[in-house]
Amino acid sequence: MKQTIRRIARGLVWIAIGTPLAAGCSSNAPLASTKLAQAERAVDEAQQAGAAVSVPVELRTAEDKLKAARAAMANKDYDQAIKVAEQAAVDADYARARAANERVKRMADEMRANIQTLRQELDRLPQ
Amino acid sequence: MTLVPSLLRRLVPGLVPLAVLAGCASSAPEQAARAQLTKAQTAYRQAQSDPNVQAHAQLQLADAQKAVQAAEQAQNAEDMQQLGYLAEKKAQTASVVGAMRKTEQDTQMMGRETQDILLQKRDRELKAALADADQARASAEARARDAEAKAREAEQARAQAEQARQTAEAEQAKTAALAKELADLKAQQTNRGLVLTVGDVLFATGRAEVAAGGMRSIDKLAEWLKKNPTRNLLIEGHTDNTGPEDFNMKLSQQRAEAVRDQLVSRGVGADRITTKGYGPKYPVVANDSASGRQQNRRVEVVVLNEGATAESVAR
Repeated sequence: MKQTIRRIARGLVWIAIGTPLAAGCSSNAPLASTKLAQAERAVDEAQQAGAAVSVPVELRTAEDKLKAARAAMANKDYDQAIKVAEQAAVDADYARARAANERVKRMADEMRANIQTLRQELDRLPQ
Repeated sequence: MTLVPSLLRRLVPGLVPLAVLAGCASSAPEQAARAQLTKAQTAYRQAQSDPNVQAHAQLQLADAQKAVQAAEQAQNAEDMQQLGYLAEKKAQTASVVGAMRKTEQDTQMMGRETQDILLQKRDRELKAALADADQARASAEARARDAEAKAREAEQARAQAEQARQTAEAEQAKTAALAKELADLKAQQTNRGLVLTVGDVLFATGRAEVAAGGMRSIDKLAEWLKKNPTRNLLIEGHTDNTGPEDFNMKLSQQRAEAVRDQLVSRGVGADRITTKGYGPKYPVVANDSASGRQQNRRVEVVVLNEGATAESVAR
């Protein structure tokens, strides 16, 4: 009786340890593809924002990580794929924000110069 | 009763490595993870204290805050490293977005400023153009007035010239008319002077009154004399040979005087005129026909040359 209980307990322990491991491995694949899709979209948006021209280094970082995520995905290394895909996404968001900021700054500079020219022209006219 | 300790005994070996990992901070990955967390926290504090982020990037800031909290609560070094990196990037992104939104706001203000300056500029340009136009119109008006005045002056000068020309023409015409009138009087230049024969038709047989037909000749002569005040006259009366001598002498004298009286009544000075009667003594043609006698019944007016006396030219 005692032995039977022990056997059952031992089995339960193995189930308790093994199940989460097996479930973890099999459930990481969909999460990885979701994260990869998010990263793809984020990098795409950064490229469209003109990051390749205004912040090439930052964009390159995101692109490299996206490539690494794709490679990990292909190797079925889902944990690694999730990790680098998450990083690629935040890197791309950052690059996109920087690109947008650069564009707006350039626009502001042009407007400032334009205003200065206009003011000079205005001052030359009689009141 | 022995089941629980037995289970614990079996589970403990698995828990030990985790406890070591969490509690001990000496391993390299652990240190790197802590450093990453610190970077994330620093980046977050920087974003949080940025007024631009507070005003324009609250969503991004909240996102970063959640990420930092997740990193702080990481159960192992690997998670902390990963979550710390994500949190740091999110905090940096929040800062950039805050700065960008602020600049965007600035450009909106500058857009309004640009519009404002353009309006002012257009306003001033319009005013300047209007002032120019006013000036141009004023000077054009001044030029027009000037031209008008000059045209008026020219017209006046032209009118004066025309009047002068007309006056001169009238004078000329008068002189020409007078010359023609004297010619009408059949003046003949002789060595005694200009001799006008006042036609025989002026007097009826035996009468001394100047007939109406002769008045025109008298008028012309009087006018001519008034224009030539330095010329004096000798008026000579003649008859035909009909009738007694003394009667004819008297008649010829009366006829000369009748012409003189007519001239004096037209304003010619009496002292300028000398009269003589010769009777039939000086006929111009033979008295043997009626027409010849008529030609001889006449008064001759001698216009004396300047300075000559009547006596010196009388017959």
